Amino acid sequence: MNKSAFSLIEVLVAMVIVSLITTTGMFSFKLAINQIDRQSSLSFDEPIHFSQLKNLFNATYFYTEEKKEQFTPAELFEYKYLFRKSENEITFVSSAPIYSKKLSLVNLKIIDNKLMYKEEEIYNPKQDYKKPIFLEDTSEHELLTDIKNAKFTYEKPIDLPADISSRVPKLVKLEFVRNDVDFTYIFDIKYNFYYLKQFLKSKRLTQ
Amino acid sequence: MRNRKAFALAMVLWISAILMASTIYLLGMYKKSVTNAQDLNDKLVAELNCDSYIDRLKFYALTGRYSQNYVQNDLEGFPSTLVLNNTFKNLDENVSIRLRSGGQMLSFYDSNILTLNHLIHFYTKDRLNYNDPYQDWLDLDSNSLLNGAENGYYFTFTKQYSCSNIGVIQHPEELFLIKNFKDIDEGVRSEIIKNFHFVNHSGLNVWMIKPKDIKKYIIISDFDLTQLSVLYQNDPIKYVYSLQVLLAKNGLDQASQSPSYVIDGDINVKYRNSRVKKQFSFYFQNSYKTPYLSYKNYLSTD
Repeated sequence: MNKSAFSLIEVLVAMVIVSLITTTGMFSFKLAINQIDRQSSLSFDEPIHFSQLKNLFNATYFYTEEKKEQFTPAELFEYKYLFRKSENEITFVSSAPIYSKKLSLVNLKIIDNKLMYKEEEIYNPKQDYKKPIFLEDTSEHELLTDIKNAKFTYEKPIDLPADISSRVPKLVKLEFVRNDVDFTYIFDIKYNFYYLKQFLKSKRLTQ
Repeated sequence: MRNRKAFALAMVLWISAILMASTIYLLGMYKKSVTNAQDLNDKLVAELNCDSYIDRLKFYALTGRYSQNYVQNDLEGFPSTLVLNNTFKNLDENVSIRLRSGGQMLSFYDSNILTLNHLIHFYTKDRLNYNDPYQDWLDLDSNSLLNGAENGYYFTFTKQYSCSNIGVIQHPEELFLIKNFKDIDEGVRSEIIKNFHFVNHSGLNVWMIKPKDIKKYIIISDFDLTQLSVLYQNDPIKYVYSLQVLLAKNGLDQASQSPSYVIDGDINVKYRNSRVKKQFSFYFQNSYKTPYLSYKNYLSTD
């Protein structure tokens, strides 16, 4: 018998050891891949969500909601624009919502270290277009997760009357901490209603 | 002994097969992961490039010098002159843009009964009266026109709503709450939204129509269309004037041209295998003092 060669039993034992090592390696590799996937999706999330939010705010629509029973041109003149804001929540109308392609009421809310987002079309047949609200079946989506110390702050326009500037800000800032890094997103709101003011003023004078 | 060897050989072969299958599975998983990440990265870069170009173009348009149908500015990555002729121009091999001006669009005042019905009929292919319900929707009184509808009509729906009654509509989508408009199919609706621009102008809603679509609205000979196309490329204001004459012949006598408050456009951005296409509109402050291009200004510089 040729003793210099390996016996099948020896090869078998070697293969078992190799397969054990390989299995362990495979498991580690899969874990590593999952980790990379998670990290890459997280790193992609940030610029995507920033871009979505930027478009959302840039397309702020100066939509007038009905405050009283009778909706009059005077209310448009008095800038009753739908824009509710606080440190933790902001609600306004945008013509570039994230999911729909139609004019929508949108809401961003900071809750439990998350930034939640929801939208509802203004001219949805189930909606009251004069007093738009979020319907019961409106779904909420997580835009940002694992954020700490998050808050909205607002900057008023300096060259506009107080009744507008107190309602609709010029800049919206979203500050938060994520993975011990401070973030500040700054969004600009486009003003485009000078004409409406002029028109309603002239209309009021002629009536 | 032979049996033991055969068993061991079989085991070696099985284990080899399992190892090979595992390797193939791992490679597949790795490849999928890398491909997904690459696609996502490409899409993201294309999106961000597109947004960046739009922002820079906004700066270019808002600070540029306008004359006739072009705008001039000095900005890195952009040519010194951009023509507002509604045709695509390549900024580089991956980016192309198309610009058009509000001054090159045609305006219709909503008070023109014939115009409103005429325009909507081109899309809906019906003969319903759209003007009366529209006027009733806007006016402050509660008297219904012959084919119109006041609150009583809208109160009969399961989800009741009332007329706007504020003299203006707040958004083009509001149209589709109005009697007869509300029965328009979703596909036709999106075509109307896409082709019509609503601008509050001089106390009226002005409907601006893109010149390239004018063949949908009037009967026009090929000769006239060719002449218009040449004017459109070279002299947009004269183009609109010529078009007005043609429209008047078709009974659309209240059509007019409006000053430019808006620049409208499309941008295509490519990055590796990803493509992003976006539409944008830059609105200038709506004041008579600040249209960047108007009929009056154009005549004075001509």
